[in-house]
Amino acid sequence: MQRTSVRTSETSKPMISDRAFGLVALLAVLPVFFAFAVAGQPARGRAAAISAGMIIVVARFTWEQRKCIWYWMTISCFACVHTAVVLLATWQEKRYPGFALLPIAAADFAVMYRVIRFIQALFKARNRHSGGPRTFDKGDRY
Amino acid sequence: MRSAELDLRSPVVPPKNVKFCLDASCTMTTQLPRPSDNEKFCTAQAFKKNMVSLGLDVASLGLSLVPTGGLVRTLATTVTGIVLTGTSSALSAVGHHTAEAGVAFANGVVTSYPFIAVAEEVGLKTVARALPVVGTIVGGVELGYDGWLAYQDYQACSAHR
Repeated sequence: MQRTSVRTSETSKPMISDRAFGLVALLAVLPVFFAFAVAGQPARGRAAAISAGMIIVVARFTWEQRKCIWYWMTISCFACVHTAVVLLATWQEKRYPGFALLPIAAADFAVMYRVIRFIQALFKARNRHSGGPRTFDKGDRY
Repeated sequence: MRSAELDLRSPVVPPKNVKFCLDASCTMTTQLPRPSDNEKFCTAQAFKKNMVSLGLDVASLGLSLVPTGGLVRTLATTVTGIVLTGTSSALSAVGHHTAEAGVAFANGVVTSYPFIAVAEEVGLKTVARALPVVGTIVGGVELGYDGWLAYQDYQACSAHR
């Protein structure tokens, strides 16, 4: 049976369902949109809000890696790239009703998710030779 | 009329939008001002202009968690999505923007299903599981965008009148 909720770690119970998480993430990114909209750039705000939402969703679905340094460095790189694209690109004041932007957002999520999994596989192979992952846990090596 | 020509014996009628009066002809009230005809008119105009977009955005949020189907449905919806994309582009070129918005919405709904199904079949189960969450965020942000444009239309109408 397919899982219907996200687990916060590999061993803990699901804290929040996917549906509730989507609504919470939506509430988290709406202020980003309105900040840009009040500044007179609603189209840029829409791009910024969706970008922030995708990064939040990626972080949620790869949350079991949160104790690794490379994970947060990767998330930071994603944030920097999205910030640069949002600020430097020209955004059209055009309406995209409903799901019209879903394929683009889904592709953005899929790329970020696969990049994190790829880096995870690289570090897993590397740690197999050097012994133990580098994490923030209890004085472990960084 | 100059102030020197004012007839002081006539009763002073306060204007409608004045909240507080200092002379005896006014009575202080704590009632909130009722919406004027202009406000009602502008609200109706803004709603009428953005009704299609707002309705589609609300529908998107409701549809973001509908489950997907099998391979046959995937192929059928992919072909339908391609047809709808062409129709939307043609309507946009002709200038039927309301119809274009409806077709684009239908296109988004239709093409999201094969995306989920394909993702599941090639082993990207997490991506397929995340798509309803992504849809909720995209639909919600679009709803905020269209709501903001509706508010801008209302403000432009109020300033114009």
